[in-house]
Amino acid sequence: MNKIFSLLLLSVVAFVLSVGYTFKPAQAKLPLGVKLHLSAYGFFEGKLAHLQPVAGVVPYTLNTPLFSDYAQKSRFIRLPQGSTARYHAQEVFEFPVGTILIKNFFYPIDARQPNKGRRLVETRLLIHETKGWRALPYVWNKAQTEATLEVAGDTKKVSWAGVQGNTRALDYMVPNVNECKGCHVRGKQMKPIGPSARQLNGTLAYAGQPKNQLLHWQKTGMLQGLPPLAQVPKAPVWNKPTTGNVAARARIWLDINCGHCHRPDGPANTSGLFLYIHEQNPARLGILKSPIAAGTAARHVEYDIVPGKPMQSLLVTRLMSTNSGERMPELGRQLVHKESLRLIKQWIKEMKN
Amino acid sequence: MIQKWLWLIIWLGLPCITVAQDSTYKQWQTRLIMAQDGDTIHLPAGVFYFKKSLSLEGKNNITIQGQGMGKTVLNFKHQTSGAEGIRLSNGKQITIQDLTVQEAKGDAIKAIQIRGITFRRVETEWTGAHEGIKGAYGLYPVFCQQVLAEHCQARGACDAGIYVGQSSNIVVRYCEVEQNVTGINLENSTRADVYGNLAMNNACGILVMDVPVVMIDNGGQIRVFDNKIVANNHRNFAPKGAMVAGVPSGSGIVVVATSRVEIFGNELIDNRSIGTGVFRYDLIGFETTYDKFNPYPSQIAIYNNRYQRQAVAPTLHGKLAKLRFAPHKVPHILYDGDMDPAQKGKSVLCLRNNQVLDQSPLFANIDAANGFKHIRKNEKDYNCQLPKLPKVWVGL
Repeated sequence: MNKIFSLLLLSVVAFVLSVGYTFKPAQAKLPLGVKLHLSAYGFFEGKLAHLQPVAGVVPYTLNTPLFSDYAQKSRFIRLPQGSTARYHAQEVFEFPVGTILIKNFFYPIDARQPNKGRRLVETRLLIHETKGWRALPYVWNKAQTEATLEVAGDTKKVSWAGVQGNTRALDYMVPNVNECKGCHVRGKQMKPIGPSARQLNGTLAYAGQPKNQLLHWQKTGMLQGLPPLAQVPKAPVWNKPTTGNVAARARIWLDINCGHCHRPDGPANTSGLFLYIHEQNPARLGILKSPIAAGTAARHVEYDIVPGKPMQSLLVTRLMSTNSGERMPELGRQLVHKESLRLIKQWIKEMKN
Repeated sequence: MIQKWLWLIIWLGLPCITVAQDSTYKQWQTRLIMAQDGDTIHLPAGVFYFKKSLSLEGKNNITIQGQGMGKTVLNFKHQTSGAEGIRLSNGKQITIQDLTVQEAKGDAIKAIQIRGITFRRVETEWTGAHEGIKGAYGLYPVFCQQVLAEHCQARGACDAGIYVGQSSNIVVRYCEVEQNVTGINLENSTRADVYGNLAMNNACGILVMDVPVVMIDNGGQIRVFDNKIVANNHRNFAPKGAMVAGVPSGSGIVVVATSRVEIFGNELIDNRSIGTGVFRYDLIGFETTYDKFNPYPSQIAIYNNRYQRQAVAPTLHGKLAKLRFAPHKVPHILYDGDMDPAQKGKSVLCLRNNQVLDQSPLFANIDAANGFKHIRKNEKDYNCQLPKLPKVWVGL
């Protein structure tokens, strides 16, 4: 009887605490320019969930995007009126203060039947303020009528029917603002990752008309300094063999999934392993490099990459892992991306010693 | 009948505990995000389970204050996101004290790019048998300056209990480290005082090592003194690819590839394989041809230490496995004898006033470069002195 009473007391106390401890973001004062609700920014017209951009909010895509647990993404950029981005050959473009990058994450209800619609999970904003970029995660409600700022992030149960008809389910983790900085940082500065020349150099349909994004940006006054297109780097599409060989597609996949941290001025520079597109030194790329601080992930392997031997390479073990202390990337995925794993394994397999 | 109602209320209440945990995470993480420079964040007593890492980013002059080791306990055994329990990054003057971090899926507390990081009365641990290797580092400052770890406890890490990497101006003192693979591990770090610690029942008590292909190529100017290094004969349960996997179980204080190290005033008792070892990188680590890295240790001063061991066989492995010593004839100090050609004519190793309280020889040059063929117990050849390293200040 005593046991039951203490269990009862425990659960009543827990209930009271859980109600009492709920944090109300509306009570905190928001910084200037930061809104509690996504609708307040006025990016979209009509039903918010349709993501119909107003004039000045321009959609964009990347040739090879980040893997985020099979979430699909809808990206937009809004430059302050009359301002332009500045072209950069190697890194993300220079965007003027006031630029907002908008990234919406969603899952189809059924991947085989797009007409069944989608469920928006989160929208991430990167706002270029005078002091630097600020990252803000917004979480969509079940009714899909609004997304609300959650600085501490959130966890949402999502499920969808995959292309093979199988149901997939996931505790989707919306990052907190510190986790945003965990990837979106170079040196000590927050920076966008996606919109670079090589990633934007591709075709997108604008009002039904397919155009090269960079040419469109230049034409509409969004971009200055664009050289002739033939001189602009172009990233292959990781899963389209016609756009590049295995090595090129593996390198761009690593660049966009890992290179923001694994570069000399990125948060994983402590490892000495550099996976961004510009790394040429085989030792720093991980070839026959001993792992640094890999913890339990290194339980069966001795080197980051062993040419010809993907299963003896820590890079592969990390991509295959679902243990949060061992997997890579550290944040942003929980599932294994089987399709790109195949590509990376093939790249290592084809490496000569 | 009453019982049935009670059970119903219990089953309704238990899910609320889960909600309470998730909202504790949100509450604490929000406080860390909203903290203003100069704030102290008080954490209550209790055991708190978290599924995600807690992170403090880009703040200055913050103290994270628990109610005490074992009193404020953060447990990460249900962790599904984040590679460490607590992450502190990009800041100045951060102090974390009086709490315990348990069962992180990766490292317990990581501090990266902080100038002025203090760990005080912090306990990190992984419990349970080591069949499934767990964790990695207990305390993990990396790329930091002005690092202080004092009165901390670290237990059960499959790499290092207290690790300091690619950092400078470091003091690790009055800590207790046990049942880790390495109790305290300094890597590619510069200017460190490691003193007054107890390292017991680890595979290796204290390891000072440089490793290749990282941004800081070599460390140095490390003083390891007045420590009690006792019975570090724990099985080496490091993952195969870990840098420390090559350190033999039964090691007291080992220096690998680092230069300008002073080891003095320590009590090294019952470390069955190596009381103090001085080795070139690839004797312990893996093959490397990285040209920016110096694999040779040099200017190592070992003096005023006391050595004692029981007459048991050493447990050497890896490249040292072929070394054979009879149980009562294991020299306390082992030097691999492979000298850096660039150091010719200079003092690579100096030994003075070390006391042996048993029948074992003090020292052997194990001639590692020649397959241990000509082992020489020639400590007299190393009777020299090196310039003393200065005391390390961490500005506190």
